[in-house]
Amino acid sequence: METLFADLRYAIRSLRNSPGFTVVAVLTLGLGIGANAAIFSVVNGVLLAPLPYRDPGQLVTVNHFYPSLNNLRAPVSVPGFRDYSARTDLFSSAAVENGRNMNLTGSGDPERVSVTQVTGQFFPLLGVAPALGRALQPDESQPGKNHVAVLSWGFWRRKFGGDRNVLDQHLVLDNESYQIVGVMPPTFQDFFSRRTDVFTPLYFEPAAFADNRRTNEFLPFIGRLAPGVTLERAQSAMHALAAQLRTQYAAQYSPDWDLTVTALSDDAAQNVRSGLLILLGAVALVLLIACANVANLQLARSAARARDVAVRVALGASPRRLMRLLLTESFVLALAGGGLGILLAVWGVPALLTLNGDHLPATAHIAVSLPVLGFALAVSLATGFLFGLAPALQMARTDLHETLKEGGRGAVSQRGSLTLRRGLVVSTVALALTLLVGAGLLIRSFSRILGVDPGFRPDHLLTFSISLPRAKYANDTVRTQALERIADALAATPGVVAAGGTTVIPFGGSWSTSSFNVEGFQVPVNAPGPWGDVRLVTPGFLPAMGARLVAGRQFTDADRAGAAAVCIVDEEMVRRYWPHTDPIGKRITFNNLTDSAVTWIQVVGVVGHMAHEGLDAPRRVQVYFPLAQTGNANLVYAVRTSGPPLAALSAARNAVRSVDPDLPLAATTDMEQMIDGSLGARRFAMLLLGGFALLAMILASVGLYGVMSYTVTQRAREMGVRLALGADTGDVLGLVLKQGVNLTLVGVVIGIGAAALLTRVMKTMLYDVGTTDPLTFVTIPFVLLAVALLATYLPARRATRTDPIVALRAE
Amino acid sequence: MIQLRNIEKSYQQGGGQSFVLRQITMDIHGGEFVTVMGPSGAGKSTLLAILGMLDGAWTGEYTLFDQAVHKLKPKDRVALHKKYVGFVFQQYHLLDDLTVAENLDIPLSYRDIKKAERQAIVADTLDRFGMVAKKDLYPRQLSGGQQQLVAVARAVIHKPQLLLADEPTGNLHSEQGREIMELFKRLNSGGTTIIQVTHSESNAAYGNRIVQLKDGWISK
Repeated sequence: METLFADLRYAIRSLRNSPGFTVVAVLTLGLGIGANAAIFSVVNGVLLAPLPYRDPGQLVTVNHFYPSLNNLRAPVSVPGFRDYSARTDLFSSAAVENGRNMNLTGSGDPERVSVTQVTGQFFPLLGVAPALGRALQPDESQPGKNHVAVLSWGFWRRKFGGDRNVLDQHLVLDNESYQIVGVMPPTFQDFFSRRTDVFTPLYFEPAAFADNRRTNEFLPFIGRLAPGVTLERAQSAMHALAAQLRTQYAAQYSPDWDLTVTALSDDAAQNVRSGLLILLGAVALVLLIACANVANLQLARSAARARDVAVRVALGASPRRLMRLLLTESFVLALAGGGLGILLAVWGVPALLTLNGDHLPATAHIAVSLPVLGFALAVSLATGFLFGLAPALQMARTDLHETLKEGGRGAVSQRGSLTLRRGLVVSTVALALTLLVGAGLLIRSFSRILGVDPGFRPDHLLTFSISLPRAKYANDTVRTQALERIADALAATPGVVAAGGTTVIPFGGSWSTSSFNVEGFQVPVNAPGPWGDVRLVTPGFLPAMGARLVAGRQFTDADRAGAAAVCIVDEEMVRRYWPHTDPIGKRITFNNLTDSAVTWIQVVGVVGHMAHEGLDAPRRVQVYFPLAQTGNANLVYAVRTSGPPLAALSAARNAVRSVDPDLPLAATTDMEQMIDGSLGARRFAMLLLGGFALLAMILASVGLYGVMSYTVTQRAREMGVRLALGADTGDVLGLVLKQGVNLTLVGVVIGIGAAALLTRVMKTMLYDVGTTDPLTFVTIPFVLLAVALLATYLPARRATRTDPIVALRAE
Repeated sequence: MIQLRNIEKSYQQGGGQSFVLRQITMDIHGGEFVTVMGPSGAGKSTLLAILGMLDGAWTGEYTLFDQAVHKLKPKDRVALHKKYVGFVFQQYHLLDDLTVAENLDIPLSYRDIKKAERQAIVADTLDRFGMVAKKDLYPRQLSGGQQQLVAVARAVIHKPQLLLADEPTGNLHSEQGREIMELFKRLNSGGTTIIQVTHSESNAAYGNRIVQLKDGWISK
């Protein structure tokens, strides 16, 4: 122990005596370890930490699954929920939820709040006790008992200031009163909904269980596996159930319809798993580069300390003792770097979440927690060993006699040391190139996406949603009238060019799809029938969006209940079902063609396809129907303005209030922001990988600079000789540059090979760019070569200033 | 061939100036074999460096082959050096990572000579100096005398008219030293002007003139 302390003391003193080296090494390691700790915080929160529910390993979700529709996983339907939850041999309990926005009135300005309606077993199933009062009871999912509410912690604090006497108070939601019965703890987070203000019981009308609602899929399902039931067994049983239901309700389900059972923890992570693991791999590469750089610095430093080591050996230090002394120094450096890294991670994690918080699972608790600290410590120790071992071995092998004879230059070990240092530089260049190529591919993808035409004009477009309370607006007629009056009032507002509403707006985060039949179109055997996005719109919506009218006409006020049923389809629909004929006048129906009475809907117009989930999302067929022929209580308005969209918000709010002063505007934003938000996950990956690649390039360049500087110092005599033999500055400059470029080229060649292999894992992250995109694979090496040339140029210039007299005399 | 007029070299030291060379004035004719002698610190090596244009920070007038070196830009001095001067050092200064043949090639590579021609010149020089068998060896595989032989061969391979040698036998035992001096004698007989710095009287005897330096002054 005494020896250890002595080694520690020596290590700290030695590092203090080389402040330049120590600062650079600690900074380099801090950046590497910090990046790893930050990304690991996310990985731990999303992939490793258990979900915040009782026995989370038993929780699963069930989805409807359509292999032929891009492997679409849909929520379940009301009849589906009844059928699946009845399988008590598989699920000890099950629940579904339905997220919606409701108008909160009666307490200040009307406000839209996020309400999650849950079936009776929801809270018992998750096993999380409320902080205040009680949770919703199983028997409250029925009329007469369902007007009770449990508040989220955040909503309770925001709306009621954390008042503990809240329990007997009431909330007025969509003009109906709900008694507050409980408040959930701050740690409780609904799995499917990122932000829930209020939980209320979910009640289904008997009509909702009708067989023709079997593919009306809108309910996320959570089940707890019955004791002894494995995930595989549940999956197999549900697969069999799907086969049985397909046969039993052939008219309802497509031929490849299936059911999947997924562990809830996997469901949370499945969209982000590969991206996170790639980022973790990227930061591991950055750390490797940092290690190589510090090892390089250590090797340079060990050259200067060779005499010191030789003297220790001469005085009886064993190689083992010497190794321990040198490794102690490395561990001290690594731990200092680790400490700095943790500080950087503490600062960096919130920044990461700002960049991408909304695209990570809601239940993920991401912070620099105890496991992250443990990870950082382990990485630091491993790092210390990694970068400390080679220099320690190198120094322990120093030729004692030669070193002492040559006054500490350690002549014999220098050759091996330089080879090792060059090897380290080559590997850092190769690693940096791999990361740069990865980042380059993401940047290329991103730029391709930005170039995608959304199919409408996203500029000057204000959007917000309105929800009519059913208690106040009792039927579709009054709802449609109110919603149309709002659209008219908006259109008449100064500064508004056009306005219209839709049930589902592009980039709004939700979607509504349906199957339908196309007159005259024969569905191939075992293939899914026509299916796509369906939207109810007011006549002004498509013009307000700036959608391109390709054929036929827009909707008019005459397209309403009682008139001929009409629709407008997009070009994708025409391409798939009427590729060589005039689509105007063609008909579709939501009825089964075998039904006794079929309601046909006639195509009166064709518009361009509008991107929906994202600019890069696969295209679905889009069909628009007049709101006035169907009716709905919720609408998202698109308001085209002459000035900045958000500047028109106040006028828009007044327009809505002129129709109903109690209607709050929700989700107010502009379309460019919405599109920007849809790029968040890609931007996150691009910025992060780009940042890491940049860091890698800087570290690799610093490493190259270090080695070339060292080489120039080592070769001062050679430069002197060459100058004395007739070399001019250009010759010397070229000599050093050539050496730097050669090292870089070797790294680049290896890096290109590594990148060609490693970028394959990024396939799903790319858009319209191959994993071996020639432009990226050609450009990036040139960029790296240019940077390497700069890093070599500085020492090369110094070499040209070698004074031959001084260099030769120094010998 | 060489005219030196009032050559002086000094360093700033503390508040004053420390002179290394003082008012050096002398002429050296083509074909001479001049020996510069004097105690350590007399300025011998500095004078050699000035003559070889490795040192540019001095005052006075230096004319080499009718070219006023003191008026030349550094770039032109390098060109003049390339054209006329060869250097031999006490420590040989062979490049460790290059073979004998590659070491010989260095001066040629800096003189815009095509590779094939260079190879022929190197082969001829190896033959002339009796080093063909050693052409692929590295300096560390040679004895001191052999290394200095290579260094001399390297210094003369581009046929300089002026050979400057700084203690060429300083690290060699007497027999090896004698061989090198014999070689110098032969080169001088062939028309090469040689200026050597040495402490050795016997080496000085190979030359036809001795210049004595003391404290930077020519004393004799």
